Amino acid sequence: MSMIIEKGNGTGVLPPETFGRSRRSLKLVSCILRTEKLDAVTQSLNKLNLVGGMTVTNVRGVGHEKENFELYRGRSYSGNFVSRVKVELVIESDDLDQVMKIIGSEAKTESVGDGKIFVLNVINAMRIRTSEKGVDAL
Amino acid sequence: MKLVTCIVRPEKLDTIKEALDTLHIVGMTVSDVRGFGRQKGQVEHYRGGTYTINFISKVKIDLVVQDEDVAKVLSTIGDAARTGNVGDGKIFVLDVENAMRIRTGEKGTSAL
Repeated sequence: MSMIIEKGNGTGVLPPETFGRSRRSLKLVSCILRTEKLDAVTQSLNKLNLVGGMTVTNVRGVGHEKENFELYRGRSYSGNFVSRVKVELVIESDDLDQVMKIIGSEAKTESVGDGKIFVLNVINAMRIRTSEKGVDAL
Repeated sequence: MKLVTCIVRPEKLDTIKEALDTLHIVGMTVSDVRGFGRQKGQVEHYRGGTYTINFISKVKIDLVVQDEDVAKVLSTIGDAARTGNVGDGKIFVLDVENAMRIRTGEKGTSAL
């Protein structure tokens, strides 16, 4: 891998071919989930050993559920921000389909407000302790 | 422009901020997050077999920098955040398509 790092173009960004012959690349999976579904999602992902780690943030937001779907003490509220957790994980693109399927099935309640999953391209990653880069950093 | 997202130890935040100051990189967003890495938090054995996955508190630093600064920023944050122990965190680099300074409407790198 050290050889590969030296091939970098000086911007800290690895050219695509340095991810190996299989064209492995990194994806950021960012999901907004119901807070109570976090444990189920975490456990299923860990069972399959697909993810090296994840980051969880408490967030609030509005989605399609804003039309009076949130009930509080018998009253429905509209336009309020609802609490969710944002789960972010960086994975190899090869595992993307499987991870999305697991999160999708675990986080589902079939009612409005189950959340969304977004996938973004990650150009590079670095493990701070060892300075490993790319897929090795996961 | 690139988005540099770092998950680091909370106690290293000040060191990292000072290190970035010397590079004249100002402007960052910090969030308190929890998560786990390869070690799955601390694996606890409780009355025989059961274990739980613990989320460990970290801070996430998001900064948007110009392409030519990415390498510098990576090594600076890496050096400032390193303790050599497991749990030092990770840095991810993502592409940013555009940016805008809300006050003036400036776009692109001049918005940074």
